[in-house]
Amino acid sequence: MTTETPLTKHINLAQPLAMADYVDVGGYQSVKKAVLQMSASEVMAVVKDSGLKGRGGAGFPTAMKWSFVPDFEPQDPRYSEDKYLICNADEMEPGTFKDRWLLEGVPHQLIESMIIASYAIGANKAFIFLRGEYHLAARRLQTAIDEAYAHGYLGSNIQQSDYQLDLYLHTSAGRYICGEETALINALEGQRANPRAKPPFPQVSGLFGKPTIVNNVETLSNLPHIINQGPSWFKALSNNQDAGTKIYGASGRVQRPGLWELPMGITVRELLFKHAGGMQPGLNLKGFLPGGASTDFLTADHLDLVMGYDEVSQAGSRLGTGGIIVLDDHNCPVGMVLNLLKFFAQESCGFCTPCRDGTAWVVETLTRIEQGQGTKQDLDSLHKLCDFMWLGKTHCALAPGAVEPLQSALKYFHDDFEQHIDKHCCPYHGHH
Amino acid sequence: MDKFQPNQSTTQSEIAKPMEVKTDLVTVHVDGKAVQLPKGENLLAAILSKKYNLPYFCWHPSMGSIGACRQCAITQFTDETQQKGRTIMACMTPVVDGMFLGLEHAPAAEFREQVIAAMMTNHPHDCPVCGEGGACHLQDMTVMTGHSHRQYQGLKRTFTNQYLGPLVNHEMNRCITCYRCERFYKDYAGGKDFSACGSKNQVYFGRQQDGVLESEFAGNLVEVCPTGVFTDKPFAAHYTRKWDLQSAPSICHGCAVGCNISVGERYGSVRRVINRYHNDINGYFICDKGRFGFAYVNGDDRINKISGIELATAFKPHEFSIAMARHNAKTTVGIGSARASQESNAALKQLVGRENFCSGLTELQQECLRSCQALMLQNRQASISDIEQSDCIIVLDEDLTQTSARIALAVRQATRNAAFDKAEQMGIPRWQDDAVRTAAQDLRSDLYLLQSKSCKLDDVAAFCEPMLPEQILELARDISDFANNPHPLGLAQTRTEGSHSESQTLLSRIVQSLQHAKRPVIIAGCSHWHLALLQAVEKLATHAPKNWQFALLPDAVNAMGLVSLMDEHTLSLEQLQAKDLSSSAVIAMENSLPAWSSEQRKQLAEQAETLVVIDHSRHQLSELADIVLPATAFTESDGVAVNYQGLAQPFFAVKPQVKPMHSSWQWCQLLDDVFGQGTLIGLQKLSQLRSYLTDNVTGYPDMNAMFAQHLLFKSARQPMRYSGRTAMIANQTVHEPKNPVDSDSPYSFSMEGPGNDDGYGHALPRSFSWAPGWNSNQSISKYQVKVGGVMSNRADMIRLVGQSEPSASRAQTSSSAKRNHRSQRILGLQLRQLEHLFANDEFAGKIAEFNLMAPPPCLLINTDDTGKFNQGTVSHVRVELTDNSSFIVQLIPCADIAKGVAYLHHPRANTSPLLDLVVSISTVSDADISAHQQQLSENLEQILQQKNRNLARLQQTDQRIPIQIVGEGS
Repeated sequence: MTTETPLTKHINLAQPLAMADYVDVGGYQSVKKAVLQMSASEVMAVVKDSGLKGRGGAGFPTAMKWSFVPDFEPQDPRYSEDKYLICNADEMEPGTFKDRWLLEGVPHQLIESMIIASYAIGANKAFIFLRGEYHLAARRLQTAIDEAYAHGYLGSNIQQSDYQLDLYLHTSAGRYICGEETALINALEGQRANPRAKPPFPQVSGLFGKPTIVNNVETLSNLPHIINQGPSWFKALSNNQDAGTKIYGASGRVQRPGLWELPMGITVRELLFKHAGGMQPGLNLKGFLPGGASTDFLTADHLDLVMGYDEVSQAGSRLGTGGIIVLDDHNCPVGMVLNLLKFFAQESCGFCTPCRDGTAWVVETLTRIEQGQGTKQDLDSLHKLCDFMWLGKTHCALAPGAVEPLQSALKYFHDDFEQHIDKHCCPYHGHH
Repeated sequence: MDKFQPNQSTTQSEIAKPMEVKTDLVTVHVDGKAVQLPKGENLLAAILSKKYNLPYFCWHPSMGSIGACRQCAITQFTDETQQKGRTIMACMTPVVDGMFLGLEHAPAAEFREQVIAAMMTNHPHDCPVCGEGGACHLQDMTVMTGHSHRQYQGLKRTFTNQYLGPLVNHEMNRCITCYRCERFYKDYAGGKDFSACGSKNQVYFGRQQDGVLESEFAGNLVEVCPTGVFTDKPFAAHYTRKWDLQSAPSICHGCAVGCNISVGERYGSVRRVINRYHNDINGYFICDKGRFGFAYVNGDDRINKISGIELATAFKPHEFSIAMARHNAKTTVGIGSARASQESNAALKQLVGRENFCSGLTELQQECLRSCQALMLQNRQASISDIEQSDCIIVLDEDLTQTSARIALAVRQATRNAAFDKAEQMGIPRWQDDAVRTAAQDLRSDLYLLQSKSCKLDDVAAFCEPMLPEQILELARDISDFANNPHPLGLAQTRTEGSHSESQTLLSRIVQSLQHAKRPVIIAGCSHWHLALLQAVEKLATHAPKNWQFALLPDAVNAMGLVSLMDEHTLSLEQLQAKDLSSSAVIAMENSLPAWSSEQRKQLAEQAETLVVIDHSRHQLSELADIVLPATAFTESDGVAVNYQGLAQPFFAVKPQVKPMHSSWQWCQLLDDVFGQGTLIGLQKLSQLRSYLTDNVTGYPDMNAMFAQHLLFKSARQPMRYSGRTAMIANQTVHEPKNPVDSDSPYSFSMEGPGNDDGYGHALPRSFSWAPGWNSNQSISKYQVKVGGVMSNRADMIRLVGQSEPSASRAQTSSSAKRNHRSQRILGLQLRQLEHLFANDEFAGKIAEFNLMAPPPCLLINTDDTGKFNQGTVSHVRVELTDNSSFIVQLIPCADIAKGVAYLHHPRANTSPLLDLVVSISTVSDADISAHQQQLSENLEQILQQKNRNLARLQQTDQRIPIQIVGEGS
């Protein structure tokens, strides 16, 4: 099997490719092809054929998301209104750092991608909503944007076509909730970063009330390659039904934590033991979160699981961002879940009751359990809270995301919780 | 025959909205029962409209849904087997045909209980000391969900509270984060100094820093907040539980809008005013003047004794007649009042005869009010809900936010209609509050503020540049010409030829807006008595298309009633002044003659053989009177007030009269055998008087039909849980008195009576709102046909409408109105009065809280006009008056006042025609300025002391309640 790495092959973290060098390695070819030779609907059709799915965590087919942007008739007054593309680069999911690699290592690829996506949806303004702490990425992106303007890839009449695109870099003031696309839009508008009620979806009423597409960095970065090399090539990259490659990551006590662009659909075992080098000496794998902090735990029983959207779902978790967080047998799962829940409680926007008060309630309960002051009733109460904060009952997906590691920890590490309660202390104490 | 004789209409269709959209009803199955719900409405509103109990917090009928609290969760089943379903938020889900819903379904019910449990993790257990307790929506909803056992073991988060001014108290620890306060204050009422701050379970609702809330509607936070975060501060200072309040339906006496209020009383003092829902007028909100402006009825200045005649301690009518007989004069002249009830004015007119009835208004005022009346009689005066539905509003020379604030709030809502239209195009229902705001952004319906000074509606206006009053008048006339001419734009050009091209552009903008608008409304008012402008609007109305509506706003609660009693014989103040009164008794009823200078008042007192003042509070005229008769304030009286639209609305006493106080009409009746024709003798009951006035006094609406049927089945003024009835006077007497009898109104001074819910379908206003399980005023939805709609037992409306032929008497007097604009030129500046909601009538000065919030004495001028004042170097100036007195005002240059106009604010403007009296403005020495500032701070100190004294006095009188308050006949 060939191991092509289209997303990352031009990455240079020390000094990313400048415009001329990037063009030399084939950069911006896709822009010329798209804006000069293809119609927007042709671009959309290619992307649809490629089977590209969102890499931000939800795995929603990208072309389908785009297709919800209303197509107004020319006589409709809304025909001439703005549409927007937003790149969600607010990478704040604990255990996830893949976008940073792309942003710092090959910023031109993102700009190229955003021109394609904007062209496909008919947007003339695009925004990169960047995590506030990504200072280096901000500098490199701005340099790249300036170069793109200077070389006629941004601004009016891109590559002598009649297509126009302005691209703005916006650095976040720093809240996890800004990764939620409607909260991101509110933040970009200068409002409180509270998620919006859906429907209406941003594709219909997004930034400033106009049709808006929000795509993740990694999702977008696939577009130039799909345009250049076609949907069949893209589909063939993967090991399973999910097309393309995926930047998988591993953190926790593995030998070599890191990021790898691999064919979509490799197994957990391959990722953890081949690429991440297995567990550190003396440690065993107890469990792992397959795709960031807001996915359910899986265990050593799932090592042969294929890391694809459907496969991980069927196993009771989510592929999420593909950034695995490993839990070893010397670290306390209760402590880990508490740590995660503190994060979610801290990052709740405070809008809806289950999230605002429920996450804090979980933290209070877990803190007592971890400190050895928990009771059996606390476990019932945690189960109840998991149900209380589940999908459909909250305003957005933050609280359900917080529930996922908690509910699965209660399932897989039930004994650990019981031991905390029975022994009135954390049984892992001293093992750190 | 007065050609202005009103035709009286009691039909509700007169008031029914043309915009009332008929929605399709679809069948939805709720807990297995089929019900008909309006398609597309949100499920919560639809379900509440069907009188189901479904708890909620963040949703509000006027503000729509946002889905924050998650309290209204229900189950939506996939099919009729009701086996499988998912939890949905009722407030965020539109009604769809054939839905199967479970309100009682266990998972949803448990979730609702858990939402309360989650809110309670941080809610203090301070209900016993919380002002909201007993009328708390959170308490009600908690009980409704069945939550009773606390499982959360952690500590509660605490906040630091803010000082938000003298009206609203802040206790953030009680907050359940429903976001209603922010949504009302910022989104609905346009306040700028309040917001949600912070995140997670530390969201804080308040100002950036401590300080007086700037909005004129801040008091609504008290009702909007579902728990005790925002409470009524003056009420808290002299507090009683809702269940211990005796309440009566009333009408706000703050302006001519006629907002419906409910007044609460305990131990003889009035404790609070809250909004009383009326779908066509105030809806769910009143302004702070309405909520807090009643306090003068408890004030130090109340007149509670007869003075000028000797009487035995207990008031006896025949002794009074004998004592008064000594003061009989050849003729009796009566001065009516725009703030007195229609009964009192009509009784006075009957007492003195039409030739001797004086309106108490200047000719200018009369003519201005005649213009308002003309539109009222043509039925062209828009209701508040009409205004809210307008798509183009033009406000002419009136700062609505400071004069008729509730109208300003409606204007603000109207500017959102373009947003609702756009949302509808996008398939977003109008109740999806956040989504509508997102979709529409800054899109607003047209609002043109043609004004000389910026106002608090500027932020939603398409145009608000200050201009001279003459320019406003010219534009009004141009609009009038446009309305009369089929080729408006060409005409506009000729009409404004030679004038500024800017105003021409503005005119064509306005004209285009009006042409495109479906329901334009043009609003003006009487705050500057700008007669030419009002007449221009009146003329405009005569040839404006039928879909145009107007709101010409008088200045006082019953001004329209008073005008309807005026005929060709009615004396203006000018005519009264010219009259030989040397052998006349003059009865001034509820009128301190603020339109007159103190010289003119003195002159009246000297000329009149006897000056009788009937009023509830001391004022400059009562000080000069030979005889003062204590009147009841509106809180102790029954009567009718006619609002700007011509709606005759009844108000009811919240507590019995304490003799010798009588309602003004009663005094008229008591005086009739001495001063009058004797026609009122024996009409001791209001119902008798009303019958008589209906038959004999033109301009008195037929109120009998409205009340007669209810007198047999009285409603209770006191809730079922009213406590201490037998104990409250036990320190004075152990004998339990018989309840006071109120034979005149459909309400009883007791807990007895069917409590407004007699099942006979009686159309009675509710004295207070309560329903089983709903102790807060959100219980109102149980009494509406649908939430936010008409009341299910709405009181019959009496409306004065009629023909609009100009009367002969009017044509004569209008030419004799000396000036058509109440303003004065000083230093080349047009001097006008600065309106302020808390300082624009004679009673505002009697309310400590308002005195604290009123602006300091000041003169506002355009920055470019500062050069007229000693090269712009002065901070204060001295205003000198005709009577050689003077006062110092702060000179405040602002950018947003028309050049050449100056706005004067001084408390004396509320008791005298200050602008007419100004002769010059001079410089003032530094020493005088510091003395002035010293005086201001002393005044503030005195206000605070007076506030405390007043409170101490009220607390004292709680211990010594006049027996008449609780018992009959002692």
